[in-house]
Parts: sequence; C-alpha cells; structure tokens
Amino acid sequence: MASKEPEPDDPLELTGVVLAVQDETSLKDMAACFVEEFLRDGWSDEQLRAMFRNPHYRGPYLVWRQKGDAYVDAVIQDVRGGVSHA
Amino acid sequence: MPKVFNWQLGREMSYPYEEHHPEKQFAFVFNLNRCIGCQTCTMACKSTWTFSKGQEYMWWNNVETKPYGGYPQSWDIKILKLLEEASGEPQRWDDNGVYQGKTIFEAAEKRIGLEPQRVLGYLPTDEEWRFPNIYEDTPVGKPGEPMTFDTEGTVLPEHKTWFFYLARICNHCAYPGCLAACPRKAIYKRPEDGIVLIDQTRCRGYRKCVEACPYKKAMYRPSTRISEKCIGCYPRIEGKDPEAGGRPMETRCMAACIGQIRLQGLVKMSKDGSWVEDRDNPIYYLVKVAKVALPLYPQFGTAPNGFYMPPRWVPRGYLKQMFGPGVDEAIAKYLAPDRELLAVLQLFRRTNRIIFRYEIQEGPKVYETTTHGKPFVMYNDTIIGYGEDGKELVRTQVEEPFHVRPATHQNSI
Repeated sequence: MASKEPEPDDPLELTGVVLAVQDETSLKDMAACFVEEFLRDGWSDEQLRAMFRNPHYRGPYLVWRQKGDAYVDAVIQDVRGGVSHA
Repeated sequence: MPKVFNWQLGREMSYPYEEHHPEKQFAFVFNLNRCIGCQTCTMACKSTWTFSKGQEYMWWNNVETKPYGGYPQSWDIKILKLLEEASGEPQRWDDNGVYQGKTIFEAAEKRIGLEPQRVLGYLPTDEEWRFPNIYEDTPVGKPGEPMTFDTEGTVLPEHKTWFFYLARICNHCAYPGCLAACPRKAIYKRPEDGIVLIDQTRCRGYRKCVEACPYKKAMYRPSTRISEKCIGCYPRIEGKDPEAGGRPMETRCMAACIGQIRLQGLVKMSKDGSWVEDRDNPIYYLVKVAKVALPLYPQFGTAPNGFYMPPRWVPRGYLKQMFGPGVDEAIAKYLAPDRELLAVLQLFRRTNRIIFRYEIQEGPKVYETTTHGKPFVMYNDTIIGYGEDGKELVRTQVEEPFHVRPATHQNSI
C-alpha cells in the first residue's frame, strides 16, 4: 500500500460529475423505476410518498426536492396504472 | 487480413484469422434492470478459480458501477478514446443498424508507428488493476478533505445523476481480440462450446492478450509469469461438476446470482458464424427473436457472446454507445413485454442446469392494462425448461405461486 496520503487530484479519487445527457426524461424514467420497484412489493401510495420525502432514500428524495409533491403523485399514479393488479 | 462476417455489426470486417466457428457457443444474457451489485457472482468465481498466490488482483467476474466505475479503472473510456483517435472518426451506425466506424482490428491496421499492433489496445497499469470498485459507491469527502465522510447525511455530495451496475465476465467472443493478438498461438476457442482458453503450457506471458482484449478480461499472473482468463467454468459446462450428474450446468457466477439477473446457455452455430435458428432456446429467443438483449460495445468488433438487457432509466445516448443501435427497441419490448417474453423471463435462475429448449402452456388471463402508452395483457402461463437430453429441468409460472403455511409448524421449513 502506498504510504503517501491521497490528494484530491489523484486519479484514484473518483469524483462524480453530472453528464450532459441528464435531462427531464431521464429524471422521470428514474423516478418511475423507484416507484415500480416498491409498488411490486405492495407498497401503498402513502408509503411511496413517505419514501420520496425521506432523506435516507437519496434518489427518490432528490426527485421530490427538485419536483415536489404533485410531480411525485403523478408519477405514482402513472406507474400504478401500469403494474398493479391487486 | 482475411475478411470475416460480424452479424453484430451487420457487415464484413478484417480479422487476422479465417472464419472458423465452434459447433455450439457459450452465451449468456444479463438483465441489468435487476442487478443490485451484491458481488455474489464475483465471490463465487473468486473462491472457485482465483484464490491463489499471484491471483490477488485477478477478478474474472466483476461488477462495476457505471458510469464512473470500471475494472481495470476506466477500461471502456480508454479503449473508446483510443478507437476514436486511431480511426480518426467517431463510431457511427447507419440507419440500417450497420456499423460504419472502425473496429479494434481495423483501427490497428491504420495505426502504423513505432509500436504497431495487430489489435488496437493498451496495457492497464498496476494501479488500474489494483482497486476494483474503489470509491464507486461512496461519496468522497469535501474538496480538500480526502478520505473523510460528512457527518450530516443529507449534505453529502449529491449524486444527482443516474447509475447502474454492470456485471462482466469474459465474453468468449466469436472473434476474440486476445486470440488474434497472441504471438504464440496459445489461445484457442474450444470447438465444442466456443469457450476461449489460454493454453497454460504454450503461454510465455508476453501480455499481448492483456493489451488486446478490449474488455480487459485476460490477466497476467506474476507468480507464474503467464496469463490467465475466465474459463467459462468448462468442467460444469461439460457436466463434470460432481453436482451436475453428467448434464451441462451453468457457471458458478450464474448459479450464485442473488438478483436472478443471469441466464446462460449454449447456442448452435453454423459454419459462417451465424446462429442456427433454434426458436425455443431461451438465449436464442431473447437475443434474436425478442431482441431485448444486446452485446456489450459491439463496435469493438470481437462479436462478444454476453448480451445485456439495458437498464431502462439510463439516458439513451449513453446506452447506445454501450450496446449499439438496438437500445430503443429492447427497452420498449421490456417495458411492455408480450406473452412469450414475460414467460421466458421467468426462467432466469430457476435451475442451475443449462436449458436448451422451453415450452409454454397457456394459462388464464389475469390482468389487462396500458403501460408506458402500450397495451399490456398478463396471462398466468406455465413455462417448462428442458435439458440437452430432452428431459424436463424446471417448471414455473408467470404469477408467483402464493403459499400459505399450515397453522401447525409455522416456523419450520
């Protein structure tokens, strides 16, 4: 193991950057996937909304913070129409 | 250089050897929509094949977090960049899905200099091999404070972007870069199953295969001074694993898959390198009929035999660079699967034996809706998988059976 302390510009330090391809469509696709995965586990709308508001669910939380309740609700209803047959 | 036909590119290409293909080909499909990056495949492989001295940094199977991760680090970014520089043009596909750019074999022909190569490639550094997955899933500290973590969870640096896990093994390519580059002809494709092996007695450790494999799946072992690579668990494919009972069995990494993303099989090959039509072989169906599984970086030109169902949330431009022009069609089919596809998807990880043929018994309609703008009807069909000998291996259905435990012995198995 190297004895030198890592420095910020070392090539080992992976730093995430937002790629130029990030756009509204991919945000919607990602949000829909979050909903789909948990919906299949039988979660209710209220549980799903709570997940989006919970900072420990980092991905869904980021969506909620950027877009708000109405957007999240719309995504939930959209996906529920597609996958649920309880 | 001889010309060979590469069906993944839709055209002929240069390759150092004449066309020659195995009877059957080892192939697999990974559903990236389902990979959770648990690394169980990685450890199953490691504990079986690469646990000895000199193999410490050798991971025949690895799972990396895209877009930032890679093992060895930045392997795909580096080879894509080399390819673009050497060919002097971007990698283009025309409207008919035919690749118009250069492969790693064609780019090498153009790249004449002090160190000419038979296959365009590079030798990763020790550092690039040494740290699989480092920092891939953990945010680094604030600028100027490396190796630290924020104490307040929600103010960690935000990954505002998407990511996915990419599980990789050797693709046992139809036109392997490693085989093409070996100066000793120590690498060969087995005629019975197309598994690519390094002859350990012929190899002299020149590392040309390490340089040439675009997927970086040939690895050098300093303790023996020769190279090694994924052997496709060939004793299992041959049915020689004690558990196999003489019947072909899937590899260790496939069998261990927790997320049930993997299905492996053997497809029949014709002399010209195309796949013999075998409609009811699940791998043939997923790749050639449903077209939901696509090769990894087909533009390299090695005709890899690993096929991936692209993750549906990732921006399409990125996916098209990684899996070629079939991405939109593959995702559309996966989002609203038809009756047959939904049934075949149930075969993933239902058995560790290799399924050669499936049959579907129709069941009742259980659900009907519109999803992602398309009609979707679900039937509770039963799908049956058969082995090479025609005997039934597995039987499962689209709707997961609901089991109620008896009131007595509720906690016993």
